[in-house]
Amino acid sequence: MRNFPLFPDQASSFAGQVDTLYAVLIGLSLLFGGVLPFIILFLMVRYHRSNKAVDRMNQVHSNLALELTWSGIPLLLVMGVFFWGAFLYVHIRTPPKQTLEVYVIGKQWMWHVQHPNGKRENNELHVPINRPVRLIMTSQDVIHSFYLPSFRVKQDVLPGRYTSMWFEATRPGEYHLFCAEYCGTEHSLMVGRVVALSMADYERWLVTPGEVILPDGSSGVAAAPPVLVPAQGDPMALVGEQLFTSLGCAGCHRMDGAGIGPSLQGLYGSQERMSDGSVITADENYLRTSILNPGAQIVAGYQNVMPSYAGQLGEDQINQLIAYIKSLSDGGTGAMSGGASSGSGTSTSGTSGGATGGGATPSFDAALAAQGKQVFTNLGCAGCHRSDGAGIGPALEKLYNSEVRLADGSVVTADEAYLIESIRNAAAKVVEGYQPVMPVYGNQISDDQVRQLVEYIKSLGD
Amino acid sequence: MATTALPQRGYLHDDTPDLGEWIRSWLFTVDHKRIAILYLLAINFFFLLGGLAATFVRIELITPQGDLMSSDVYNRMFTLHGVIMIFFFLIPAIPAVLGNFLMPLMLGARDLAFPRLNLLSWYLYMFGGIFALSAAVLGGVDTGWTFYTPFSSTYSNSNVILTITGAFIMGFSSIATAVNFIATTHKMRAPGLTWFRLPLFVWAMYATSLVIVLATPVVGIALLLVAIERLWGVGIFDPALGGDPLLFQHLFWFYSHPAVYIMILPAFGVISELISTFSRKRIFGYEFIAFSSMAIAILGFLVWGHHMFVSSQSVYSSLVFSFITMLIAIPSAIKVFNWTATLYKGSISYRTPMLYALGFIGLFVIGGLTGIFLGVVAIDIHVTDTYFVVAHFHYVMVGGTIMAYLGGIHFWWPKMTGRMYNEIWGGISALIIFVGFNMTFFPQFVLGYLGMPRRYHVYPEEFQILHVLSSAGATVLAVGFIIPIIYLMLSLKTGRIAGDNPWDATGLEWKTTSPPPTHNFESIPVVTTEAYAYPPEAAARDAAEWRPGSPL
Amino acid sequence: MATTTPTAKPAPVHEHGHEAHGRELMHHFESAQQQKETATLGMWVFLVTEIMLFGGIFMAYIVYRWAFPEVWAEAAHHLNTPLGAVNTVVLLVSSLTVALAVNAAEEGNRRRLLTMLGITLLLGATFLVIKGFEYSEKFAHCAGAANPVAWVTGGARLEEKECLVPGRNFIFPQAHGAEAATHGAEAGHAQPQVGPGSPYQLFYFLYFVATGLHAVHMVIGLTIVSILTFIAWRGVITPTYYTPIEVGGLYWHLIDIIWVFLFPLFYLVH
Repeated sequence: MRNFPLFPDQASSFAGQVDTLYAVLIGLSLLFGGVLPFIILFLMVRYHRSNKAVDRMNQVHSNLALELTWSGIPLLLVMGVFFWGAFLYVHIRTPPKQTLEVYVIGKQWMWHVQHPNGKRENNELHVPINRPVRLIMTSQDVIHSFYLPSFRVKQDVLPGRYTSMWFEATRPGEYHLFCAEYCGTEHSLMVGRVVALSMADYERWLVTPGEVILPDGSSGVAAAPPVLVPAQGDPMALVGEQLFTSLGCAGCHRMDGAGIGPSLQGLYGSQERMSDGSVITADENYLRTSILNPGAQIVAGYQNVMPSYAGQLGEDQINQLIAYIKSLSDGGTGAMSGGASSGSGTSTSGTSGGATGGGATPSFDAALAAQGKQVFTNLGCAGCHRSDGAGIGPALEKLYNSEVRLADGSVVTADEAYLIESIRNAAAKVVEGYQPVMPVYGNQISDDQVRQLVEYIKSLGD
Repeated sequence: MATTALPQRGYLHDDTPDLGEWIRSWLFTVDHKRIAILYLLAINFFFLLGGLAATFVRIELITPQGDLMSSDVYNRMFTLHGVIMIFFFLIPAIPAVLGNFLMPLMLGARDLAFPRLNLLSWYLYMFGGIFALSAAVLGGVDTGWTFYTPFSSTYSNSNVILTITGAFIMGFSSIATAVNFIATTHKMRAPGLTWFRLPLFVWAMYATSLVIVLATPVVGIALLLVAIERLWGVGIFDPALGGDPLLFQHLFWFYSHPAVYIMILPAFGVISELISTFSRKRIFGYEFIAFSSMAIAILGFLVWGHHMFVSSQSVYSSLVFSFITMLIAIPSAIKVFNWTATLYKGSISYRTPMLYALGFIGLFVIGGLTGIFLGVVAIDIHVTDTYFVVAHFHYVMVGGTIMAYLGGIHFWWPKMTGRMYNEIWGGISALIIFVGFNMTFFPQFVLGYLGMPRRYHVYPEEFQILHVLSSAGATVLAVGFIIPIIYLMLSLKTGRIAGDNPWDATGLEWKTTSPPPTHNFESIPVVTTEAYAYPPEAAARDAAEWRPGSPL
Repeated sequence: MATTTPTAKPAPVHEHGHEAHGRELMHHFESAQQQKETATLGMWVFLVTEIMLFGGIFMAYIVYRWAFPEVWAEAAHHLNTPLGAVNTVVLLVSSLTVALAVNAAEEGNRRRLLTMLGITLLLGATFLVIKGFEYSEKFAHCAGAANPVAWVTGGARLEEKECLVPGRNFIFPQAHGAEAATHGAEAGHAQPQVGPGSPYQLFYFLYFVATGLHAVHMVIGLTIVSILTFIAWRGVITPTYYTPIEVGGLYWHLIDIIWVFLFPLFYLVH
């Protein structure tokens, strides 16, 4: 028990300011709350019925001037306090332009933190001192609240949206991290520590691998030490880019703005005009809504055609996608460094012809087709090539060996060569009635995977 | 006092020897005074139950480890404490017991406007109570009394629906009472009893009733929606199902902030009565006290967002809510100053109700001032959801409402039962409660600013010393609450016969016998003066008559 | 008894027996006028609480409509507007008949009073039957039947999958092909079917809660009117004592007004 403190540690740039206001309020309170009881005590004793020596005549029962005085003075004082508090509040809620952004996911009953370089930690938050840090937080289940008493900051963490807060640590050390919003059984164990480090220590810590439990419950050791190489874009954004590619987002969200969906280049932080005429600032919450519920807000000039990804992406993955989209704004141009193979490593072409039952022998390899189906799903092909024909791309059912009319009027037979070409270079032969919007997969997928895909398409019938 | 026996025609009196008949005469009574007694018994039962839960919470918190009970049990305990105390004690306490008993008496009416509705409200209260109790017995509920979504609607595995149903039904009980009070105040005042001759207790109850009528249905529908979401898995508050968790908070606090005023406004009314009577003097600034009640009732509807400063509501709305919260401090301050001014040149006696009233002022000042701390957003960010908030609202709710409730019970006890309680024990227990209360809750302000979050089952060791202090205070407080139960019960048999007006008070309720007859007045009184019409020389005369040996 | 001031002096002795006034005057009222005014005021105050009760739902409605304007406009198309319109007319007429009933009671015309109350009962029942049909239509669609009759008899099936009852099976049908895209060919077809967790479901959730709560009020209202009819038939209602009719009528009007708000908010959104 250290000597009975009345204030927690002052470890952030806000702490002193909040404590000053608090101290002033205590002073004002003593002026009223401290003096008034003594007035009451004095009156109690002086005018007690046993005291016959005091004058009780000429009573007054109302006095407008008095009423106005004791309404007016407190009013002025609370207004002063209000404006002081309001300016401080606006300061606390307004992050500076350049901040270190850290993603936080709350879940029953732990905190999961991911740093921009990909480093993760549980129930701990390492931050450098003297550098503004902004936390972008969301919850996987119920409402939590990220509370750092020594920093005098607290922000509820809500499911289904982002909340953020910022602070600047000023003193190295370890401080409490609490969940302040009641969140169920182990609410009081949803605690941890925030570790403020000097910049040098922080950078050293960032590249040290560590074991964490991922939000989905699986535990993973960071295989290779995450690297802090700001020049090449940070790993979290890189993972996001891979996700972006494998989901097939790039097919519509083309960087040149010619896609079905709006370009994401320079989107983050800009003002977007919606189809209903309103203007929205593209912040994290807007990006999040647009991924999970694309129909809610539609950018002017575009159609409501994007499928919803609600329930298909973890909070973790949404964070990565958003980190990627944000990287498209921060670094100016480019960032679309290709070559990110979405490698599903299974390249064994086990040719175990699964002759299923009697009748017609299948004209495709069942094992390969099964793998192909996996690739098909992973790449997000189903988003456009819907089996009911209602997608952006043509349905693939009964496609194999059928006659296909192309946009240039010619007719081709959809044989294997056609399928392979369409996968590798979709723009070469476009089916009549469809737009050339499918991404060119080129060499991003291996020959084995193309093979598997073709077998899968063949399995859909001919 | 010339009287030596209770009046024969008192509402408590029964001439039937048949037990079944006697029970029926109580359970089917439409007499507002008997209904008030029914409420008194039921509400005190719930108070003891809520207090028991609080005891377990405080014992658990003596050590930083979770050693007495598991976290699940602990969560159920503080939820039980919150739900019972808020919905089944604080909200109905003063209106349903003192208000029911006194409103017609103070207004010079024979009964409330809708006596059967009044009885129905008691049954609704009991019915709601049974739901809440059965939820507790069948395994409890662990959402906290705030029922925040989506925890309550999707994630909690406890008896949320039963509890919510209980609170929902109890809400209709409040509404029935409030409708009754509004209609009675408007239409059933005695001849000559104009609005500005009404006792301030009536003003306070009227303002309270307006708040109840406007706010309770909103929380009713919010709780109903939680129940529907839970039953059918249909999303309105859970974002995973397409809803918005903040909508619940808005609907909930739209009621639950005014609910704070449902709890404290009646207390203001009681205190005004007590201060005036025991100073032998008209209240200072009658109009200001009356209108400040109305101002609080109105402003109380515009500040719900100050519970949500860190919930991600926009900066602008937070500032607006903060601003209005600052304004609401003014009418509260006006009341305190006017009460203090009433003491000046009075003839003050330290009878038990007055001790409670003076204690109330001290505690309410602390509760109110810390409310300003919480209204300043920059500080609220740090202290919200910590023990600072816990301490603040206990100062207002326990230090305010319960002190006033106990003061009122003591003050009108002779009117309700016809007998006096033991004044010495009364004074002792009032002092014990005052000391125990401050011991319990003042350390929690410090705890809160140090960062101790509320609803924590285990906590860092550095907070232990303050928690131990708080728990020790709670023990003292518990003793203070138990003593009155004993001597008040004893007074029913052995108490001195009170007579019609033992306090020399002025209200119409003191013009009839103690206890009053079933229809309150032999003849409807005609009012010719303001409330608290003590003549100018009353205080001086009272002091002149005092002799050593007279009550202090 | 040392009362310091005579604040009150005895009023003229009130003869407190039931002979002094009609048997319908309760003991604690001084006059029939006072009793009537009190009852009316009480009902008005109660109506305020009813408005606040629905206010919570309207609040939720405003919040979500503001958040998803397009969804709201589209979802409203799938409600049965003609039936809703008929119901609006039915309720408005019933309000008229209730007003006429109050008038008849005031004039002591027992026959007209009973007639009007009877018509009101019929109209109220009609409303509930139509409402019930609307609901069962939605449930029939969930079961795959084209309409409630087919649901029972096993007749026509629904061509397009649709289930507008909130819950796990919720399916909002695809957007109309007519609203085809301008940007990509055939892109209009890309609108996926939307299931639980979508804002479409929120619309129907609020629809069912609001109209359901209203229907509960209709049932209560019908019960009240039935009781009024009964006491009118027993001859309790007289030109000097018709407060029950007046107060019950107020309640009925409120139900009507709430529907007048619900109908455009849910059926006529664009």
